[in-house]
Amino acid sequence: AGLRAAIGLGKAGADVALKVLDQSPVGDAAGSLADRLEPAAERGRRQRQATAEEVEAVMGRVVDDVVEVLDLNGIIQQVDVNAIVERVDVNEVVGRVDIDDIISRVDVDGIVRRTEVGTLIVQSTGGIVTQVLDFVRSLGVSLDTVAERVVDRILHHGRPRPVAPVLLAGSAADVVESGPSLPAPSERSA
Amino acid sequence: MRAEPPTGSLAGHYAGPVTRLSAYAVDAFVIVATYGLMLSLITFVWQLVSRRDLELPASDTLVWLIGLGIWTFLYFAASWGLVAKTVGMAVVGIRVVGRDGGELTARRGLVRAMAFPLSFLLFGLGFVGIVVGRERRALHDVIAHTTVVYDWDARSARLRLLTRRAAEA
Repeated sequence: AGLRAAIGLGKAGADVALKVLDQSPVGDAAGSLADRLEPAAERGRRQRQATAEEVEAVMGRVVDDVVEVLDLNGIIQQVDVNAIVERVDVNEVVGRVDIDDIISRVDVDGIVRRTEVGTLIVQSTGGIVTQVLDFVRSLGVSLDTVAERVVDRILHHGRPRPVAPVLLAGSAADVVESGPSLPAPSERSA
Repeated sequence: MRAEPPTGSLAGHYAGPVTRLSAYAVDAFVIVATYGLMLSLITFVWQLVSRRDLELPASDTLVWLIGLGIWTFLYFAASWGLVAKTVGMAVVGIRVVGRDGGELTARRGLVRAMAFPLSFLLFGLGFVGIVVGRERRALHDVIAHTTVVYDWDARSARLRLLTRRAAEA
């Protein structure tokens, strides 16, 4: 606070001094000197602007010529790209990529329609018998799904049940809660 | 509700009640049909060898029913013990596994076949667990420490369906 007060006092003092000088013969002399110097200042400003414009024009042409003369291919060949690549942590870069998101955007059905993959599958899997089996199984699965949803809603209050046994589950969410009646590993067949 | 294969593979997932019931229906037909064929074969061989007619018990007799029961037990015991699935299960795409999803042993398949009739007691209450249980297990599954899962790659079936539709379009 004391410093601020001192600064404020100094400014006030300077204002007063300037006003006094303006009123005095010293102020008049300073004013006429400033008037005589003004044209020179103006000339200086115009000269600086003209110089800046000339320099800018020259620099533009110089840069273009330099780029034309430069052998960029030669410069790039001298760069050790392998050393640069070795310094890149590819695992970290890949780790930042959301693979699941990319895969989910792939239209697998569209790929099958547009490529010969599906034709190969059809040719390799037989005819009418396979179609009938696929239809019967699909119908069974659809009806199973309906029954599952009804039971889950009524008896399990909407909470989904595990979808697979522990050894066949694809994710932790599918794991069956193990109980004391589970067989010991030695009882399982090879 | 559609009869299109689902987008994901269901292999390894618990089989539902409709699929298992369908498998039992196919098995019942196969059992009765093969039983009749077996009796006919026995009669034919007997007549070929002994040159005498063989009169088998009628289908409404106790002996015939006992024979059918034994044949049914042998059918299920052999199917589950050897390949972990019956003909009906193969048709609908399911198989029997251990409770934890491991391979079914022959001993466990035999136990399952022996416990199977218990599920029919009390008007089929033993099968209720397939519908309401967390692991979709019937009474004979609980006794034999088994469960039934899909053994069918729905994804391949879906690809075949899409390809056929694309070819027809």
